[in-house]
Formats: sequence, C-alpha cells, structure tokens
Amino acid sequence: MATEIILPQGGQDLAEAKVARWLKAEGDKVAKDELLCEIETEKAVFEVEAPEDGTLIKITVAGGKSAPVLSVIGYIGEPGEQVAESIDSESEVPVSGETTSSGKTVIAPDSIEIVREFDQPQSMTTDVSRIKISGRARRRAEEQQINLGLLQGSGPCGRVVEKDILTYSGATGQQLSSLQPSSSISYPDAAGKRVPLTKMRQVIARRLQESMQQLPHFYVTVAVEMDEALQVRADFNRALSRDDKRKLSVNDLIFKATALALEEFYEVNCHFREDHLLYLDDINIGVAVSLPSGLVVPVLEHADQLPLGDIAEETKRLIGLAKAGKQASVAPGSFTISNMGMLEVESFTAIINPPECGILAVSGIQKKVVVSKSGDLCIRQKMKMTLSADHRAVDGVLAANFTNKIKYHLQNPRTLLK
Amino acid sequence: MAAIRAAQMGADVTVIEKKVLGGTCLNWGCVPTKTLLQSARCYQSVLNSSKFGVYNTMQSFRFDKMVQRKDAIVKTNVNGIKHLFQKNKINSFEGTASLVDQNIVSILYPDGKTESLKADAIIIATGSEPLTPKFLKFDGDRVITTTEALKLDTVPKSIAIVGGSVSGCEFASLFSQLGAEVHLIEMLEGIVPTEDKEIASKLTSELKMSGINILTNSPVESIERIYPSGDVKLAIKGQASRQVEYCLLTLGRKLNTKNIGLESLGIKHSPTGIEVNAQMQTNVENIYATGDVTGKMLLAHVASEQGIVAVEHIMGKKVSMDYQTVPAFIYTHPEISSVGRQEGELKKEGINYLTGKNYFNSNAMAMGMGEADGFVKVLADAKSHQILGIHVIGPHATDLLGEMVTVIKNKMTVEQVKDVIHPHPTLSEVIKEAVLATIDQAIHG
Repeated sequence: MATEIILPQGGQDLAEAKVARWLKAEGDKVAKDELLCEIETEKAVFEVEAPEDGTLIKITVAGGKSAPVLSVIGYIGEPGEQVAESIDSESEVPVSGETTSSGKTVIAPDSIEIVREFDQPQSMTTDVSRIKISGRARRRAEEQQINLGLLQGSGPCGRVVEKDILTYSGATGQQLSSLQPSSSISYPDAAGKRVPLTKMRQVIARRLQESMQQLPHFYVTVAVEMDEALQVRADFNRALSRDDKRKLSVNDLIFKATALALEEFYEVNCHFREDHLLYLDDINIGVAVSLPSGLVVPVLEHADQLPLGDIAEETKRLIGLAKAGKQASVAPGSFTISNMGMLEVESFTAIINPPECGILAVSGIQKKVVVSKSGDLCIRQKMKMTLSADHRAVDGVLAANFTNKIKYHLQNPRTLLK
Repeated sequence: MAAIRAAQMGADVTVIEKKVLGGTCLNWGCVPTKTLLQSARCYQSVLNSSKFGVYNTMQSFRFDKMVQRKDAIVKTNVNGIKHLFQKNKINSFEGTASLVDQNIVSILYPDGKTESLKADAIIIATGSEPLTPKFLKFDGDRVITTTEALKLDTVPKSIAIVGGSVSGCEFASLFSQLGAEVHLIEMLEGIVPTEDKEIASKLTSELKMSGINILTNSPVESIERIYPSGDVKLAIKGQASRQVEYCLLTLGRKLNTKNIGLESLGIKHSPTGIEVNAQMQTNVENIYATGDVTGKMLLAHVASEQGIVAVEHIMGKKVSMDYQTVPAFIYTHPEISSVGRQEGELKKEGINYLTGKNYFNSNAMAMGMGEADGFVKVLADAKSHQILGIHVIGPHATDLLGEMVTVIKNKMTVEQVKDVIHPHPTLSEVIKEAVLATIDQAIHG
C-alpha cells in the first residue's frame, strides 16, 4: 500500500503552499528522511523529507503548482505499484485553470483556488451550520452576505478561511484595494519604476493593515538602565570560547526577561479570538527578522523553559534559518519582540501580529546623564522599550506591570541566570 | 548516622540520595544557618567592640564572603560523610528511590537509567521540604524559602518573614544583625508557640529591642510583586500592608511521602507522616521510616536517633525511641534551649512543681562577655524534687543544655545536681543556681 506524502502545515496562518521543485522524479528510489521536494509558502521555503524508504511512485502536485496544506502531493510505494484510484481522485488537488471531471470549474488566479459550484440545487441543500469555517471568515461572509454553502474551503480539512471569502467575492488579486477605505483617493500619474507586490509583501501589507485597523493598539514605554545587564552579559560571554553559540546578545537577555514576565502575567500570553480570550499554555516568543524581501517572525518555542545560553543558541539558529529563506518554526507565537537596538533608534512602536495581543519594540542603548538616588549626576546606559498591547485583551495596569517586570529582570540581571 | 551504625554492626548497607548526602540539616538547614549566624555575631562584635575598649574604624562586611564561608563548611561536612561511608564500606548512589515490593527498591539515576536493589530491610528517610502555600506565590526570586535565603548574594534591605517559628526567628535574627529592616509576621498570638511562654515573651522583647518589627495575630492574606522595583507587597489581616524587598516563607515543612511507592505496598501514612512504632517500623515489618518523614519532631538529632534505633532493631537489639528528653534549640540572639516538660503542661496535668530561676546578669562570666541578658528556668517535682524541665534564654544557651539533657534523661533530682561542682567562672553556674532556686537555696538569687 502506497504511503502519502503530505504537504506540511508550514505556519499557523497558512492555508496553501507551493511545491517549488521536486528533487526526485517519479520512479526514483528514496530513503526515509531523504529530501523529496522544496515547499515555498508566503513567508519561507522549507523541505519535505521522505516519510519512509521506497520508490517515489507518483507526484500529484507538480513543481511550481500550489496545493492546500495537509493535502497529498505524492506517493511512496513499491516500484510499479498503482496508487488506488479512490485515494487518488479524493486527494487530487485542483490546479489552475483545469476543469475536473466532476464538473466543477476550478479557477486559480495567482495560484489561489476559487471553487464555484454551478449545480445550484446541490449547494442549496448544504447544511450551512455544519460548514467548517474560521470565525473571521464567518464574519466576513456575513458582511458580504455570502451563502456559505457555495464555498469550498481551502484550509486544513476543507475549512473555509477568510481568503476563500475574499476570493469568492471576486476580490482576488485586489485583496489590498478591497481593504482600503472605500473613499479611495485617486493619485495623479507620476513617473517611477513599478514593482508588483511580491507575495510576501502582500501578506505583510494585508496582515499589518488588518492589525492596525482592527486592533485597538495602545502603548506603554519604559526606560531601562542596562549597565548591570551589560556587565552580566560580558561576564557570561567571557567564560565561553570565542565561537560558542551560547554567547549572549542583549536581545537574548530581553527574550529571557520577557519569557519570565509572560509567565507571571499570563494574561498577556494570549490570543484574542472572535468571542473569547485564549490564555496559552506555552510561551512561544517570535522575533521579527528583517530580510531584503520583507519581514519574517520565526518563533522560539517554550522560551520560558530555556536557560539563557540555550535561548542564545536557539535564536541564532532560528534567525539564521529565516535569513536563508527556510521555514524556521511552525509553532504558533504567543508574543513578539521587535528589536531595532542595533539600528540606534531612540524609540519606536510596533504593530501587533494577530492573534497575539502584544509586541515589544526594543530600541537602542544610549548613554544618558541621569540623576542618581543620592542626587548625583551620573552617566547610565539607558534603553527604551515600548509595549504595543491590544486593548481588547490587555488593560493599562496589566500592560504597565508586565513591561515593568521585564524592566525589573533587566535591571536585576542575575534573576535571568537562574 | 544510621548507615554508619548499621555498617559498624556488620550489615551490607546502600544509601540512595536524591540530592546531596547530609540532607536538609547539613545542606539547607541548621548547619548553614548557624554558620551564617556566626558571621552575623562576629559583625555585631566588631560593631560593639568599643564596649570592650577595642576601637576599629573599618566596620563593614561582605555577605557574599559569609555565604562562601558557609558553603565551604557545608562542603567539608559533606566530604566528611563521604569519607565515613568509604571507611565503613557503605555504597551510596545519587538517584531517586522508590519501593517496588517488600524487599526491592528501584533507583532512577539522573541520566534516566534505572536499577533494582534487593534488601532484607529498608529504611525510608526521605525528609521534608519547605512548605509554600499557593496563595503566597513562592517564586524563588523575591518570594523565597530558607533554601534560597541561604544563597542570597546581598543582605536584603528589607524583608518580611512569614511564620514566627524557629527558622523564622533565626532568619529574622540573622538579617536584622546584618542591618536589614525585618518584619516578622506570625498568624498566632505569639512567636515560637512551642516554647515556654516566659521564654517566648523574653525572646519577643529581645528581638523587638534589636529592631525587628514583630506582628502577631496577623495572618498574611495575599502577596503580590511590584514592578519595576521587584518589591513584594503583603496584605495582612488587621494591619497596614507592608512593602519589602524580599519575603521569606517559614511556614513549616512538607513531608516527602510522594512517589516513593508507599501506596503500592500499603504503607500507612498521612500528610502528617508515615506511621511508625517505637522501633521505627512501618506496618510492613521490614520497612522502617526515620526522620522528618515520620512527622514526629522535625529535628536532625531526633532523625539520627531514630535512625540508630531502627538499625539496632533491624540488627536484633531491643531498643525503642524516647521523645521525652529531646532537646530543642533556637539560634537567635539571644539563644534559646530547652529539654523536658513545660510549665504549661505541668499546670494542665495538675502536677505540683517547684520553679527555680536565675539570671545571667548575676553571672560574672556573662558580664565579662558583655552578654548578661536572659535567664534559666528549672521545673522540678514538688515532692520528689526530680528535675522535670529546663528552659534557657541567654548567651550560649544551646551549649549549656548538654548537662541538663543528661540530668533529665537520668531522672536526677535537685539535690543530686546541688552536689556537683560547677566550674567558676562559667555560664554553667547559672544552671546550677537555677536548680538551687527551686528549693530557695540559690546563692545569687
């Protein structure tokens, strides 16, 4: 019996991905864990390994084609083995511009599938209440008065996601414009180089615009005295060899401090969902990584359970993978840190990455003249950080306590070494 | 101690320890606490040296150095145990033990491997750990137990100690002598409720005099951390809230009865301890329990005596445990010690008794030492003059008790002690004088 090769769930908000290229051809022998193909998502490229030893007997999604996550993209089995027709047709993925034998017309501009049923009676009998649909998609469908029975979901297990609504309502390809205010301004012609939006840029634009428009952001800024933290970091690093991966950056200290703060103020370690708050069991902190093409946020899982040296090693690995365009992590983030310290910014604010409820914007360390407790003037290394919080989930006092706890740990850095 | 005695008696002995040989007392309890208290005393001597005509200009200390000294002393003692084990050919393993059946113990090593050992007799001595009720939000950072308090690298500027029992008072004394602002918070009407009332009241006034803020009848209702200072804010029933740098929880101890296989063998136990008879046997006859886990008296010297009773019984001797003459100490400044009956008990039981008291301020040695505060109180049977109890608060109270433990254990009378010459000038004279005071024959009364 042939084994299915499944297109992995590459990220929490991904519904589909593109098979960039196959590294093996049909009929090739493959060993378990051998690389089969590369998958490209909106954010990254990652690899799919053979689930077991055998022969790649069939490729169902060719290189360059897209498919929903968790669908079958090929089979491994005995040479000459036929893939059972039933499996084959059930799992067959609609591909751009083809008309399938079942009478459905599948159109997929820009590799996003739109499925429209032309057989009205069948679709009218669908029990709308039993359709699998995300909360956001349901709300959008209601806004646009779309009959849910007419939709075919592209999410895992056929779940209808927001994108299906957008594509169904004809907004495909103009998703951005549909999100812009209706009283759009017409701009005068201007000379310049037109650069079409890359997929990543589209995602960034859509998600951040949604976040800014839908999440009531508020901001809490604190200034942290970093002298002691820098000392602890220097002492820690001095004990390590030159190229030890556990060497700490300032960002690692902030990571650990934030993880400890999320542990106590678990109300910030939260996802805002349609009608409830989900306080997350795991503390998974994302770190914003800048790429020439845009921005990705690899996630460090269980950040609260890692000692400082491991945080340093693991974030280095994740950032390295992200910069190489590889899928670095698949866990859903619970909070994000955006650090522009190395860019010497005085302060800035960041946009929340929903469904998370907070993001910490960390600025550069600068020498400042301050008045000490005893009233003397002295020079201290100060760093500003600004928490952006979603006021639907987080209130002011909580945000202040949470941010101040991060400050406490950074100003008492020995607490980070425990 | 049990292991060494067993080996001396010819048994093949294996000890399985989860953390470090020596247990709580040596590693996280009495020994490190007393060592740090000695550093604090030393600092106080330096501060008060001018009373002795000694002048010094450098009056400073480093707590981290005190902690280092303490660690070195603990280590020396742990190595001493290792040496004694080797000498007596005792096997010891680092791992977590649990009972499999009446004769088999399985060991889980730190690397995840397991092994089973067969034994004719098994002694459970899993001890106890500090109790940390959930609502008091122990975090090991600023809300701590004695384990963390012994590892601090600086003296807290201010500390609230919740629980006015022995260890609460000892840490209050320690940090207060090193200049911390100390709040000692007790739920009951008085601190050290297990001690003689008069002694407890004297300790209360001495600690207050030394600057400790003692709150009694004051249950702590909640604890919260304040950021960015990291301070701890305590809400206390009937009192204004207190904001301090550290909060130390000294609320007694939780017995380690979990995950050691008691249930699978049907060994009777409750949260107050494993049930044992006077020979330290559990209801499974070849399985014994000793130390804190029996919930009898959570004292190291009781545990080691229990261990020796258990071992001697295993090896066929007729022995039993006697809790009547267990001495108790508190290493505050001033120190407290006691052995035998308390006045309150005698009153309640309607026993006619004589009381004798003598104060250190009439003792030449105590005056010379500049520590003349405190007294000795002796209780004797009115008819037989047998000495029933003795309670000391004052300089070296803990060392002075040795003599009286022998007296109580051997049921000696006032007259027998009267005949014993006590050296002069020593603090021990106060003991003799207090004994004589029961029959109104004290010289310096």
